[in-house]
Amino acid sequence: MSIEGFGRIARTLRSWARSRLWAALLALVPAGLAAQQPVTLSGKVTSAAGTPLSGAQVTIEPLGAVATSRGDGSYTILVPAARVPSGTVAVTARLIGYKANTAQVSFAGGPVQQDFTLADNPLQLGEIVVTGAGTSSEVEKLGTVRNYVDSTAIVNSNESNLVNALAAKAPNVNITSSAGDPGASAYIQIRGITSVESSDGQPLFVVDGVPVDNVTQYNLATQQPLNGGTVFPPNPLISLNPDDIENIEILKGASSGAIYGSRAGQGVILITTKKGRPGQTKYSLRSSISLSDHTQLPALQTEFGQGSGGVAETCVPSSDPALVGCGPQVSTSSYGPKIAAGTPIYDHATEIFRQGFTTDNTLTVSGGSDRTQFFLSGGYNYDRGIIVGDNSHYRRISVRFNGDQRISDRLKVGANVNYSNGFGGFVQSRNDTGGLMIGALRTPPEFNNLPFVDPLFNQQRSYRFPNPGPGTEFANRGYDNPFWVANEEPATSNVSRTFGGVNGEWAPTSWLKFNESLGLDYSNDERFEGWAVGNSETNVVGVTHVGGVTAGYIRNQQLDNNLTATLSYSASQSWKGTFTVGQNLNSQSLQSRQPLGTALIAAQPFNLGNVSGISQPLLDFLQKTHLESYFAQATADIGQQLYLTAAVRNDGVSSFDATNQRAWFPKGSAAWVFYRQKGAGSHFLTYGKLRTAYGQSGTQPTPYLLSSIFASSAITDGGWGPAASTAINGVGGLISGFNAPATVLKPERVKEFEAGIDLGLFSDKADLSVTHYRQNSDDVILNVPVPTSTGYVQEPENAASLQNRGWEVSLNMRPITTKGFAWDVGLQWARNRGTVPLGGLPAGLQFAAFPFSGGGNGAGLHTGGSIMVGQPIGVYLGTDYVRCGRGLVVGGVDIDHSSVAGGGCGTSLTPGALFIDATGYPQLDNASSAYVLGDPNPDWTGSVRTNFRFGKLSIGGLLDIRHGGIAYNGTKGALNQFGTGLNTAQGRDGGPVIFGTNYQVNSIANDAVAGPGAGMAVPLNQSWFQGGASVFNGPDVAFLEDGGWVKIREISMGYTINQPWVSRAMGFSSIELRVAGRNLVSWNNYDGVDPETSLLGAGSPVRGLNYFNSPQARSWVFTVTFNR
Amino acid sequence: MRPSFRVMLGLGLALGAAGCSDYLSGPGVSQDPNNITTLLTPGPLYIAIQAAQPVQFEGQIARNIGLYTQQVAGIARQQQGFDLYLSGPSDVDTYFGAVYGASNLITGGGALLDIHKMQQIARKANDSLYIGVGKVYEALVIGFAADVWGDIPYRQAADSTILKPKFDPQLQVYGDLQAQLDSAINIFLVATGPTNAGGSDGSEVTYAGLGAAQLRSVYTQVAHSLKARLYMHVAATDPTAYQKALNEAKLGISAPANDFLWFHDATPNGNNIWWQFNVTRSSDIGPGAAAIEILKRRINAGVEDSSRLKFYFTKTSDGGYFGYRPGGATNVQTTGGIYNGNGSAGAKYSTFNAFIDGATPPGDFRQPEITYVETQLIAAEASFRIGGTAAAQPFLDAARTNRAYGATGGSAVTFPALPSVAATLQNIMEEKYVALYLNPEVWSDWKRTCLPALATAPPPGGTAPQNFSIPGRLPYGQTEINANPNTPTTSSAGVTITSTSINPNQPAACPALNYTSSSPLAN
Repeated sequence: MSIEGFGRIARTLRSWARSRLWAALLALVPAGLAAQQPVTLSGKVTSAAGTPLSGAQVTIEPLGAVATSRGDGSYTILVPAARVPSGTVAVTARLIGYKANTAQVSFAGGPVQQDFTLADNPLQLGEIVVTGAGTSSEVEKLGTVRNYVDSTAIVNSNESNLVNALAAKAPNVNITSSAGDPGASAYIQIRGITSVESSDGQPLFVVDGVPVDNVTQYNLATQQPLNGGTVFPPNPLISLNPDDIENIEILKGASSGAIYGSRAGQGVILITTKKGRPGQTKYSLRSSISLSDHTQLPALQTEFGQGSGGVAETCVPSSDPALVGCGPQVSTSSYGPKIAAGTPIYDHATEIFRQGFTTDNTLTVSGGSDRTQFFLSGGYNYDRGIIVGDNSHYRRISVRFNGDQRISDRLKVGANVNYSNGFGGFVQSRNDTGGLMIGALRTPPEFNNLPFVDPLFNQQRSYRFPNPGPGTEFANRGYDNPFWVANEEPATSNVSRTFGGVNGEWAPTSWLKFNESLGLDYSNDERFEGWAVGNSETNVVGVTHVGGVTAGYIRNQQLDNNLTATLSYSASQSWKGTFTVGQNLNSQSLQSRQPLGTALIAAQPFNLGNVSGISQPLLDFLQKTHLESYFAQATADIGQQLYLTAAVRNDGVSSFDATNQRAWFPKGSAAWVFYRQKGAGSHFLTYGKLRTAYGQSGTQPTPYLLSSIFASSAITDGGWGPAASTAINGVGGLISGFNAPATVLKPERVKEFEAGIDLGLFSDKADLSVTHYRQNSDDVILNVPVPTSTGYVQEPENAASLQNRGWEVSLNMRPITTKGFAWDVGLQWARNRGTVPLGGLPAGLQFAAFPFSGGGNGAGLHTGGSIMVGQPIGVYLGTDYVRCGRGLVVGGVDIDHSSVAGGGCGTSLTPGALFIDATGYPQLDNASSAYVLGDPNPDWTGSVRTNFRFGKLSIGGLLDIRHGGIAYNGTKGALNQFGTGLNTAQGRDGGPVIFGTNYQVNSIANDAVAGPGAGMAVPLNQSWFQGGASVFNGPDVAFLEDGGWVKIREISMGYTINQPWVSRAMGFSSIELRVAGRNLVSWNNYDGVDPETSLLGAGSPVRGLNYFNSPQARSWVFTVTFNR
Repeated sequence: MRPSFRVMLGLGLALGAAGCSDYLSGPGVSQDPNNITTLLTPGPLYIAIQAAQPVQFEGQIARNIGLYTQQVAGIARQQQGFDLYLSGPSDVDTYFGAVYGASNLITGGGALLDIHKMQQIARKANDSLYIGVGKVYEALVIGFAADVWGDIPYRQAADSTILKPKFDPQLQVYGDLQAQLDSAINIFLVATGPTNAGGSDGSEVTYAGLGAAQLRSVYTQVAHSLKARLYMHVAATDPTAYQKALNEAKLGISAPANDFLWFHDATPNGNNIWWQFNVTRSSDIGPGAAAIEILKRRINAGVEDSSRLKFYFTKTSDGGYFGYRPGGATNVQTTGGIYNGNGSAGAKYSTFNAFIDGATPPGDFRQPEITYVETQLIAAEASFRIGGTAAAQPFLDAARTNRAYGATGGSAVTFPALPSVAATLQNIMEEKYVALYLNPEVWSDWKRTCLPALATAPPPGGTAPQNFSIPGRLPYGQTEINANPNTPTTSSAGVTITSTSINPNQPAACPALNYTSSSPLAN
């Protein structure tokens, strides 16, 4: 079509629009519009204290005409002659943090002046809340609990990862930072675990109305042996600069998340970024530097040297010319003799750490006119990590532009775009014989790990291979020298990410509004990981000793289009509401291509051209999900006290099976404001609201579970080593996949009922919110074992049910709010009880494990996260000591039916009593590896926040409490084997102990004991530590500890300099100085790194596991902010 | 200006709102784009079947059988326990599954499920070669499983529409397999389909280089030999099977050149599975004392020469050949020296020789699965049962003059022809025991004939036999027991692993022998 043709059509449409559409629409508009002179409405918006308020929205309600107040609080609206209303109309001024104020204004002739004074609004009543998918509501109309985090709280947390910034900010929103490494991933869990196979258990993140990716992706080469070592990349949303965030709304339950249907099963986090405001252009430069170091580490002994049985490792002169002096050290442990006085001792836990620092600079420029507003920011964050060497770092460069243009009173368009580049370097760690912590913590105290490379022969030294000679490149080091790991084995992730969108709001009439948002999230993550020649990584096949490299990319793309139409109606003065219909189209694709090159030809470079082979099958996959949804929501506001909402969403998702291609997600809520204080005066109760909601949301199945596939993987002989390639004689072959293709696959469905009360107390000097929820997750997808005679191993089925119940309380108090001095305190308390209900697993299935449950492969615990009927979700299953009452036979004796003299528990046996045999020690029970050992979930979580303000000085702090939750300390269990843990020296030094009396099998136990050896005093010697108390030979139960903590998340002091001289002399409106501490102190009963740790990073909902995890970091942060 | 903006926005919204009808399904969206979901030719499956089956026939099940028949001994770690008959359902889980398909997340494939899929694809093209070869493999794989486990799922197994397959009686399974093989033989008579028209598509590695007509001919012989073997499996309860076996054996593999050898090559994942096991688990298994002692006794008695002994095993440093007693027991002496695994000085033991030692390249030993020699010895045993020594003699003589044993380094392994010895049952069965070294078929022979006479493994440190005999079957896999309610309990399956009877088809036990008797081989 020619331009001319297009123009003709446009003209036609335009004239049609003028003549018909507007006539029709205008006819629907309430009365009162008549032709007059144009009128200018102007005025000033101030706070109750008289301060000018900028950014307030002033709206002429019937016209929908809006203006925003400028820096001096002034605003102007020009009303065209054709639209000047007759009579008086309502004009409202709104600003977040203040109560809206409405005035009746008469436009009778000439300019109109109307000033507004806005009162403080600590309860945020009347404020607009985004509720997702293009819908919004007001605070008092919400039928669900509102959890809201503002920009100040985010910025003051001093976290470069916004997920970490949410720690202790909202009840039942639990954050676990996986380590203190730069760019370490952070995991977020809302109201318990609702899914097993289908997701990482984390919520949907939506930034400015556009869903964005936050699924942590492991490197493919190390994903399969995840239990056996890898690097842990950040969760993708680290790419969003926390400084750009205006506020975060946390939609916790199914009732608030239902508008996102099948994506909201784990909750939704709605992030709104900052916008410009009319008036003078503002500049702000925020610059901070932090100094960080490691927090607690496992305590190591310094008394005993390498050896076994008190005998030192003898130097066996090597006959191998490649070895200098002694050959490889046979003894892996430090059960040798006491180290002679004067021998140099090395602190292997701390020597691999140093002081790290972070610089963080963000420059923002924002401003605009009445019709155009913009926000522009650029941030540079660099974190040099606390691990020695050059391989631990993270750098983020981010740029954001948000712009809004009011094209007309009826039409507003906006665009926002965020570009960031995140470049991180990571050190191989955790459960990894080629990792940092294993090598460090196992080294005997008298062995100097430096130099890590033999200066003469340029070969890696390690405590088990101390004297390498020429030609020992490929010799087995046992474990790698930690300094060598930190310096010689780089791994990086380089993420370029762009996300953002355009949005439009068109209100053809005062009662009809269209919202459109089109968004894109695209990231390209260049991954690289190198294993140097001579490495001891044993779990990545093909790289052991000979080195290797994996390099490739992970590309993630998400397109989202969301269109809504909202109709506001007003049936009568006391019956109003809205009706919204919407459509959402979403397309996600994830492509990952990461070949693993094995056996480096030359030691350098780490490059896929410098390898002898590429591991097959190639690590290459593409995953696409399409979603097509429709939703409708109706609200009714009755008598300004009862607010009803009902909504339904219909999702069509490509990973559902064809007969269940679409699924419905309904919700309904009611909020009843039963008390609202009228007039001034001091009252105990100033506001009261009861609310209740029910809703359903879901989790989508992983794509392609419906496909029957052929693969080319090798066929192995049950783990004995032999394997047959499916390609023989140069011809490729194919075998069927091990998953029976699913026939029925529906979304997992979370059904939740929630009820609560919100109270304003003591003239709004305090507010209290209490919420209870009951949540059932049905149709949870499990890989259900099928008979092997089908030819398959498992079939994904909607087979399991989970249940979460909980309470959430938050109490905020503002006892003093004078102009010169203010003090406020916030308390939060929450608990969640997640269980697997009766019938929650298919008949005959005793338990199911989470993918990446951390079990097996030397990391100890058999099943780190499992679901089992009647047990907490994620319960630990593993081996135990022999206990009475389990029908066990020990050494041919049925201990439950045998006297103590006969080698049994005796006649009055206590079920569960620890059986002590004639040797005086507990014995390992080999009968089952599926005993329920502990619940990793906390009993309750809470936080205390307080802030003092004395004029321009403010002091604040945030205490984070996690009470209970059993943690699995596999590190300690392994150090028992190696004799480097401090407790092993204390055991050797100390006298005999009596199990159950003055010594317990783990720090949380208080076991009754029985059996012939009960009460016997026995030594805690090498054979005990390497037998019953070693992670390799002892039972899993021995390494359980209390995983709770109380920690000072944040503490800070700030001073604002905004005296007139600042402006006069320096041109700034204000300068803020701030000193803050982050994670300074953690009180806990945990023996090792901070119990806030994660073996599996943010890619798995399994919590509480520790196997040579890296420590957390704490930091002091110095910030200066210049505002202009 | 303003209205046109509205119009454009309106158009944009309308476009955005228009959903595509195939938006939620199709390639890459609902269909896996990463793996092949639709296979049009049978070749890739056939390649994988030929690669996978040696993992079963030379892997842990074969090791278990080698231990039970005392051809090898478990001298350390898990294999030592298996040698003391301590295999439970979880130990054999993956191998039971590997009969049918993938048996855990890393093991299996190229089994019955893929054989079925290969036949389905071949049937669409009416490709007689692939249809027939599929049936031969089905009989080979399932016939072996029926021997190892007794009653097994077959008629409903590896059928994606049936999630809980029923277990079929062992004799019914054998009957079905005979019918499958008859059908294969008939199908091979007529050349149809693409591989027959154009010759081999490169997927035939077992008999690489043969054209389509030659392949049909040689697989017809294999089918007859297999029929003979499967008839012998049921002969203990059905004496008419001997004549049927004899008839089939006469039509079976006609010369050692047509032997069915598992394909292996010198690449790491192409190596013989016994070889690979000895690479990663270098001292878990060793030569069985029975195998060595029987060979030595036969040499001493002039029944055979030393070539086979020398090929299979290494000489100890003191110049003798000594194997390990079951379970690696080294402290058990027998009065007659028979089965005494202890070397003369300092307990020195032979090891496996280069063909499977895991150390001497190329490691590509192509192990015989079904051969001319086995076919002749089946005919000899069947003839002996029908007509005695005289009837059996020509067949035993044929086996002894064509002593082929697979191939290594690209060349056939052959031993010199031997002079005739009397075709007694013991001579026939012991000839088979040494000629089919490492082939699981010797266990089936022992279950039927109790030959060669074997004593039960002594308990650790003991000399008396344990209170149960050499196992006659293996337990079902744990996953099958857990997930399939049709799995027979051990009692209904007829025989438990620790019972004294040896097989559902041979409810009697072999004579109890033990290591302290003067000679377990009374001949």
